Amino acid sequence: MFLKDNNLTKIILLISLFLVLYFFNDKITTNYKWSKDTQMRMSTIKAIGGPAVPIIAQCCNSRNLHEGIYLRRSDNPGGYCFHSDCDVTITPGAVCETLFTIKIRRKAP
Amino acid sequence: MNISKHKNLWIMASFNLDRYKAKSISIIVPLIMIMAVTSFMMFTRGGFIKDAETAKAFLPDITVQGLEAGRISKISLDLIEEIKKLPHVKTVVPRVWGYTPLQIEIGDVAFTLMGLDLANMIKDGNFPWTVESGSFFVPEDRGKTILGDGVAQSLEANVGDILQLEDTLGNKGEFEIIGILKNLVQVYSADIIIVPIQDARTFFSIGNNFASDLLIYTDKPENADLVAMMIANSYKNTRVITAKALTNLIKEAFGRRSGTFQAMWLMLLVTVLLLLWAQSSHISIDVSKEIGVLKAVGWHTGDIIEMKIMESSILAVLGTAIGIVTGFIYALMGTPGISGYCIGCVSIYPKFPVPVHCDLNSIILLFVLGVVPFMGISAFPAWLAGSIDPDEAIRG
Repeated sequence: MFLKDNNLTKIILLISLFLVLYFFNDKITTNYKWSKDTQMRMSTIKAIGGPAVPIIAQCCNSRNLHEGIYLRRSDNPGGYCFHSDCDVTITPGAVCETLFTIKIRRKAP
Repeated sequence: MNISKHKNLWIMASFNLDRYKAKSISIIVPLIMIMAVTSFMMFTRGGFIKDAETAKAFLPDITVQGLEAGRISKISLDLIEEIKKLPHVKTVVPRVWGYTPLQIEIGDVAFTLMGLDLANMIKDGNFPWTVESGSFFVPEDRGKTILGDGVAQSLEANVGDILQLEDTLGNKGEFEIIGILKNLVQVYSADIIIVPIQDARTFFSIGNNFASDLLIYTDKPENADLVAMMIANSYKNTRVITAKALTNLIKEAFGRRSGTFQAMWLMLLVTVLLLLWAQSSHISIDVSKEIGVLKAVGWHTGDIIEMKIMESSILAVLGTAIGIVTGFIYALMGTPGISGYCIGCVSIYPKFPVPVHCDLNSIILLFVLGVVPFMGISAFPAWLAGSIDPDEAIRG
């Protein structure tokens, strides 16, 4: 009687459907081992040496993933790109950035 | 422990939901909608993040760029030999690339012109398969190009055509199109124009002794940080980017958009919870009488509360599960209608397969987000229903 109850059957069916979708998706779009799509995407990244991600902007100043901290900064010193689409801000944790320091050397008394 | 009692309460709760269909539907439909929105956003974002994590193994271990007065500039090829001498460095490959701002029919665009060193390319066996039509370069090729599908579609270009390029900065070039990349790799190559490195140098007027950046491959990825530190310490005016940093950039670029949907989801959830509260806390005369009869025939207050909470949990679990499956299917379909916003791409790029990923953590999180607030908010109305005095309820 319990198993024949409609709502429980619906929930079990939904979970089964979800599992089928999950494994289908895993095979098609996600898992590198199984998915041809992923293998090709990774192959492209390897060949061109990095992702050429088409994020948003039409503006050269704002769309360079490699430049990281320079994103949104226009050619004017201290200025920011005002392109209406440039709304991705990124701050990378690049190794070299930890080496930049600024110090005050005190005047000898 | 009497399990059959709880089973019977579950069945009774199911029948109640069936009897009050309109009320059940008015609660479950908005719940399905909000869970669908949350799940497709979570799965799409998860797909890009998973892709970025997978990509880490395929990126160069280190990318080195030149800096001039603190701004990105060209890098001298003289560094190649010096970097090669560092321990753990396997190979160094130069790359010349840049943007070509253009005004074409569909609007202002900035395609990426990428010059690859064909004689020293790092590629795997799958790469030729990414070329949809035409063929890939041979090392001797000059004046030839392979286009990303986005560029090819924007310009309606085909293999064999000649690409005449003159950007708004005055750079000029002419290339024979020998291949077009597949649609399914567009997420990383939609707007790319691949040319031999010499052609890129000519196009951007970059001297033979310079490159845009150097791609460094180490013997083991674990040594990448060490080599990066050595380069950054040894050479002035260099910008050193590790594969890890680049992976984080990809993740952040794609992850940010989901914030808007999270805010939208939160507002919708509050609305649905208020709706549930309004529906549950108001006990109609019929329901009141029904509870009175149940109590008169021996049901305890605890049984009524349990049944009422079971009603809410059935609605919450069912609504959440249907919402998750709907969101998942919508994501697999490429989020039609709002894919541009989800992915963060401009309108010029045609549709491409969106990576979709869900894991057990996401599913558990979605169920917690969908079910727990429902259960919480239905506790008080359930107690209210359970504490009805049977005599008063039956007499009306």
